[in-house]
Amino acid sequence: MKRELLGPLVLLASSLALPALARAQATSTLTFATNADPTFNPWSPNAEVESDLINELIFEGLTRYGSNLQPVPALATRWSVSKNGLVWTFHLRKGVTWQNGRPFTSKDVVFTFNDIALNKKLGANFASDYAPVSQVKAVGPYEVQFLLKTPFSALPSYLAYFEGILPASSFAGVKNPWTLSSFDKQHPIGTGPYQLDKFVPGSYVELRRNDHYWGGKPQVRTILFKIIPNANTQVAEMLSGGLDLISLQNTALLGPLKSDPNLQIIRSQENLYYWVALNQNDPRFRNVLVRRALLLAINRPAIIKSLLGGYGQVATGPIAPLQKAIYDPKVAQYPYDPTLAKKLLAEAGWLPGPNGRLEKGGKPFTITMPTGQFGQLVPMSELVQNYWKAIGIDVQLKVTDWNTYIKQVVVDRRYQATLAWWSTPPTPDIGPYYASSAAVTGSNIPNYRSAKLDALLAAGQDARTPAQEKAAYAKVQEFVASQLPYLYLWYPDILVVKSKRIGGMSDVNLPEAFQHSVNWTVR
Amino acid sequence: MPSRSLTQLRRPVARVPGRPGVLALLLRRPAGWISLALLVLLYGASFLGPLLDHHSATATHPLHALLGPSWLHPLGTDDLGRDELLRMLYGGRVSLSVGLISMVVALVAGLLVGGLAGYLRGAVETILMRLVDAFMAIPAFFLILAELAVFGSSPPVVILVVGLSFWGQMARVVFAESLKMRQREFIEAAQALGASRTRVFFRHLLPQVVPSAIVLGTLGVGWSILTEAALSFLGLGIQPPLASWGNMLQNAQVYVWTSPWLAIYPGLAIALAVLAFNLLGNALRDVLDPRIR
Repeated sequence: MKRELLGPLVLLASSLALPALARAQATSTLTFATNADPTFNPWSPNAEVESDLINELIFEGLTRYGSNLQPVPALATRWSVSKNGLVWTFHLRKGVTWQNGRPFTSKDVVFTFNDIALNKKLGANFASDYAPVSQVKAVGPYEVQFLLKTPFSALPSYLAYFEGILPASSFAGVKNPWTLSSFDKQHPIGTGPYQLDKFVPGSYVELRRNDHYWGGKPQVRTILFKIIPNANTQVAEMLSGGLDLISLQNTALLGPLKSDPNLQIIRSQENLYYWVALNQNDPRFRNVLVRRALLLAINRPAIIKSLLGGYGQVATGPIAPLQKAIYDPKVAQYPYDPTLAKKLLAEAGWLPGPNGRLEKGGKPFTITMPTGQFGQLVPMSELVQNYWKAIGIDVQLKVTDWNTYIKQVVVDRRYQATLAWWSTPPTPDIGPYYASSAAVTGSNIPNYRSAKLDALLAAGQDARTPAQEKAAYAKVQEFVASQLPYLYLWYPDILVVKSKRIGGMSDVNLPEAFQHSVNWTVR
Repeated sequence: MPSRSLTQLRRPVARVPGRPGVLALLLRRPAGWISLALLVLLYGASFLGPLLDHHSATATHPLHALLGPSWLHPLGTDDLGRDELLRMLYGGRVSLSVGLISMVVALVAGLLVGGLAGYLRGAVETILMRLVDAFMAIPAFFLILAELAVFGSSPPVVILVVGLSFWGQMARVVFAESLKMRQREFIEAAQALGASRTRVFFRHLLPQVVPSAIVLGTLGVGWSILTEAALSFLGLGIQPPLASWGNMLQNAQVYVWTSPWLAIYPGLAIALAVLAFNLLGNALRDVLDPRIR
C-alpha cells in the first residue's frame, strides 16, 4: 500500500522537479534581437548597427562609459595628458587575458590603432574620429602613449565609443583584416565578458560567458541574439516572450507593448539629433536668412507630437541635453512662424510670383530632396516638404533604397536638401561633422565652411579644465544655432523595451548598458 | 471600355446579323457581369470620386494623424494626417492606370513583334523570337528594378517598364496564334486575290489574333497592378507624396498594431482589382473561344 502510494508521489515529485530544472536553465539565458548578420570586428566597415551591441559584449575599449556617460576605466586603468595637450599616456590593466588565453599587452593596443584605425588604406569605422592622432607608441608592456598633431581633449570619450581593442596575434601576417572571415565571422577573440559560441547566419548568434573575465564571472550564462530584420516581427516576439529586449525605431510600434505588464519601456537618451542639411555648394543656401527661414517654416513640435508620438524634444544644436555639463539651451530659437519665414525670404530676394510660388529673377524656388528608406526618414521628409510648400517652395522628394541614398548624399554630395540624423559620442567635440576640413569628403554633409567655426572648435579641443571646456563650447553652440550649418530638428528619445526578467541593467542607454553586462542578472 | 475596343477590333470579321455581341455575351455570365461591375465601380470611384472633394490628397496635418473614421474623414487619416479615403481614390487612379496602360503597351509591342514573326517567318522570326527568348531569360522583376534605378520612378517610366516586362510573354502567344492562322484558307485567299502583305497582316491576320492577346492582356492587368504595388512597397515605384495602393501599404507597415485599417484598405482594393481583372479574363476567354461560342 505504501509502495503503491509512493510510486505516484515520486512521479509527481520528478514531474515537478523537471520543469523547475528546465526553468533554472532557461533563466540563465537572455535573448535579444539584431536586424542582420553581424560582423565580429568593431572596426570593420561592414560592422554597423547590427553588430555594435554584440561587439560590445565580446570586445572592450581602453575606456568605457560611466553612469553619466563620462569615460571610466576599462582596459586602461588611468590616463593623463601632457601640459601641451599633445601626449596622452594610458596605463593598461594587468592580468587581462584574451579569450584564447594569451595575455593582453600594449602590443595589442598599438596594433589596433597604428595598423587598423590609423591605416588610411583600410578606411576603418571611426577612423575620422582619430584625425588628430599621429601614432600610438608602446612604453613597456602596460603603458601606451597617443601622440597627437593637435590637442584632442575628447580622446578618452571617443575611446569608449564602440572602439574595441583587437588581438594583434590573430592578425599577424594578414594583409586585409576585413577579409579575415575566420576572425570576424567565425572565431572572434576579445577580452570582454562574453565570447562567441555559435553563429548561424540568418538565424542566431549565441554568446557564452567568459569564465576568465577580469571583472569577475558574469552572472548570465548565455546571451542569444536572434536575427530578425523586421521590426514588426521583433514586436511580436517581444509580446510572446521570445525576446527580452528591443530598441524601437518607430514609436508607432509602442502601442501593443505599453500594456504588457511584463515589459518596461525606457526612454533613454543618446547624443542623437535629426537635421536637414542644405548643400552649401548651392549658392541659394549660403544666405543665412534662407536657412533661418527654412527652419522657421517647419513646425517641429507638431512633427514630434505626431510622428514621434511625443517622444522627443526640439533640437537647438549638435550637443544634446544628455551632456548636462555642456548643453546650452539659451541659444537662438526658431519657433514655427511661416509669416516670419516668408519675410526673411523676401529680404533674401525670394518674392511670391503670380501663382504664389517664390521666385527670384524669374527663377522659381525648387528644392530636390533625396531621402532613403530607413526608419521614419520618408514620412519626416514628406512633412518638411509640405511645410516648405506652404511658404511657396516646391520640393521634389526622391526616395531610394538606403545604400543608394548613402552613395548619393554622403559619398557624392549630389543633393540640395536632405533629412537625416547624427548619432555621435557624448562629447562636445563636433569637429568631424562641422570642420571645414570635413566638408566634401568627411562627415560635414552640408559642406559648410567657416573659418570662425573652425577656430571655435580648435579652442574647444584646446580646453584643459571643465570650466574652459564649458565656456569654449558655449560659443560653439551659440554660433551654430545662429548660423545653422544644419537645420536642427529634434532629439528623439531612444525607446528601449525591456523584459522585467532582466536585472542589473542600467537605463542610461544601450551602448552604456552593454559595457557593463557583467552586472546583469535574470530574475 | 474593353468591350468597346473589342467590338471595334472585331469589326473586319464579317458579323452575322442577329448574333449577340461580346458585351452581351459577357453580361450573361456571372463572372462577366460581376467583374465588369467591380471594374466600373473601382475606375468610376477613382477617376470621378476626387472631383467631388476639393481637399488636397497630399496636404499633411501632423496634428490630425491616425484618426479613426469620422464624418469629415470617412476612412480616417494616415500617419501624416492626410484623408485616407481621398488617398485611396487618388492611389486608385495611379494603380489602376498603371495596370491598364502598361498592358496596352505590352499588347501593342507583343502584337507587332509576335505577329510579324509568325507571319513573315524566316530571318525576321529568328531575330525577333530569339530576342524574346533572351528577354524572357532575365527574371522580370530584377530587370524592372534595374530599369527603374537607371531611369527614375516617374509614373510614365513605371508604366512603360512594367508594360515592357510583359511584352515577351504576349509576343510568344501572338506568335503561336499567327503561325496557326497564316496557314488558314482565308489568308491564302486574300493573298491569291493580290492583297499586299501589309494589308493581309493588318486587315486579316491581326484581327484573328487579337482576341487571345486580349484575354492574356486582361490577366496581365492584374499582374501589373500587383507589380506596381510590389515596386511601390519596395519604395521604387510611385514616389511620395503621390499615392498609390502599393506605397500606401508600404507606409502602413509600422502601424499594423495600432492602425491596421491603413493596411486593410489598400490591400483590399488591390485584391478586388486583381480579382476583377482575372474574372474578366476568364469570362472573355469563354466568350471568345469559338468552340464554346
